[in-house]
Amino acid sequence: MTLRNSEKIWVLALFLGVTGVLAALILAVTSRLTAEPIRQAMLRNELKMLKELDLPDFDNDMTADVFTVGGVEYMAASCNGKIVGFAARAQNNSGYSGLLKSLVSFDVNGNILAVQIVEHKETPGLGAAVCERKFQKTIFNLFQQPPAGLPPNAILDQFRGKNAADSGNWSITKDGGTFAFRTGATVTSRAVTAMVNSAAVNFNKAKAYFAKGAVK
Amino acid sequence: MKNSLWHDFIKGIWSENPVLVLLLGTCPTLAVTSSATNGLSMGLATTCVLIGSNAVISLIAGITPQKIRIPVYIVVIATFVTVVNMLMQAYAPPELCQSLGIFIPLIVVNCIVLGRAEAFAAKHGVFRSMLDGAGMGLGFALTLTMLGAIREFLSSGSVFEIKIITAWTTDFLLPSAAPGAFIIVGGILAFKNFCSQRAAIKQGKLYVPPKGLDCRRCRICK
Repeated sequence: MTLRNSEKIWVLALFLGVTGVLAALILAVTSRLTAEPIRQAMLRNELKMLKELDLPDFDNDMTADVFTVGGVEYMAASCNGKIVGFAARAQNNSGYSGLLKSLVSFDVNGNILAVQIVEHKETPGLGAAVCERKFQKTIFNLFQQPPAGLPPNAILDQFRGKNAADSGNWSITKDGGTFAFRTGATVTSRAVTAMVNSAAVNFNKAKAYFAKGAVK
Repeated sequence: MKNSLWHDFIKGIWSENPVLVLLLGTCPTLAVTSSATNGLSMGLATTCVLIGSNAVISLIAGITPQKIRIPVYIVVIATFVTVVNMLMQAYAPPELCQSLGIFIPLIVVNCIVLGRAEAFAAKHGVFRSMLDGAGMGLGFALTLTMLGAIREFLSSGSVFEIKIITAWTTDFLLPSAAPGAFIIVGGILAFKNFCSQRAAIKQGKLYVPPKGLDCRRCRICK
C-alpha cells in the first residue's frame, strides 16, 4: 500500500495531523457528553457522605446553599424549615502528600459531631490510617454484618463534642496542644487538626448567615 | 499448538507473562501493588485498555505509515484511556471509581500497552489481537494480585484487607514500601526463571526466552 510505505514528509505530517484532530474530536465529544453525569455522580457521592456524618435527620438539599468564609464552605441541614445542624467542607494543603479534603459536621451550638476525610493521598498504613474510617475485617468476622454507624478512628473521633471556644490550644500534644497524634504520622495528624480547626473557628459567622433565614 | 488461538491467549499468563518474562510495566508493578486489592484493580483496568487498544491498533496498522506509527499508536492509546476514564467517572459506582481512579492515568504510560501494540497487534488481525490483549492483561492482573497479596500479608498480616493473623496490630513497613517491592519482585523473577530452566533441562534443552521477546528481533527502538 502506498500510504503505508510512504516516506513523503507531507503524507506523514497529514496523517499524524488527521489522527490528532480525530482524537481531539473524540475527546471533546466524550467530555461534553460526560460532564453532566460526572457532576451528578460527585454530588450523589457527597450527599451519601453527608448522610453518614451523624447529623440529625434532615430533609433539605444541603448543597443548594453554600456559605464560604476563610476558605471553608458551610452548609446547613434543616428539617421542616428548622435548622438542625451544619456541615463544612474544609481542606488543607500541609498533609504529607497533597491536598486533604474533609467534611465536618456540627450541631446547632457549634459542637463537632463527626469528621470524615473525603480525599487524601497519604502513605498507606501511616498517614492513611489517620484519614480512613474502615471496619477491620478479620477471618473471624468475615460474614458478620459490620456495626451500624461510622467505623471508629481514634484520631478523627477525638474532635467529637469539641468546639472552637472550649478546646484550649487547638493543636497536637507534640506542639503543646490538646489533641493526640499517631506515631509515624505526625505531619498528617497536624494537618488534620489544623483542617478541623479551620472549620470550627468560623462556625459562628456561618451560623449567623444561615440564621437570617437563608435556608429554604 | 504454537499458532492456535488458544496459544495467543494463554501465552500471556505464564510463558510470556508481561511482568515476569517481558519485564514490561515495571513502574506500575512496583508502585501500586502495596495491597492485593490495588494490584487486582490495576490489572483489570489495564486488561480493559489492552483489549480495546489492541483492537483499534490492529485495524489502523495497515494504513499507518511506518515512520510515524509509534506516535500514532500513543495518540490512540491516550485517547482510549482518557475516554474510559471519563466514562467511568460518569457511570461507574463511586467506590469502584475511587479505587481505580488513580490507576487509569497510569495506564497511558504503561509500556505493556505500547509494547503489545507494536509487537503483536500491528501484525495480526483484530480477533487475535484482542485475544492477545486479554491474555496479557490477565497475566498482568494475576501477577499484580499475587505480588499485592504477598506484600500486604508480609506488612500487616492481611490479604484483600481481611486480617488473617488477628494478633498482628502494628504494620511492618518494609514490604509495603518501594524497597520491599524490589526485593519481592526480584525473588519472584528468580523463581520464574528457575522454573523455566528446570523445565527446559528436563526436556534436554537449553532455556531460551520466547523468540518474540528477543531484543535483537524487537523493532520498537529501531
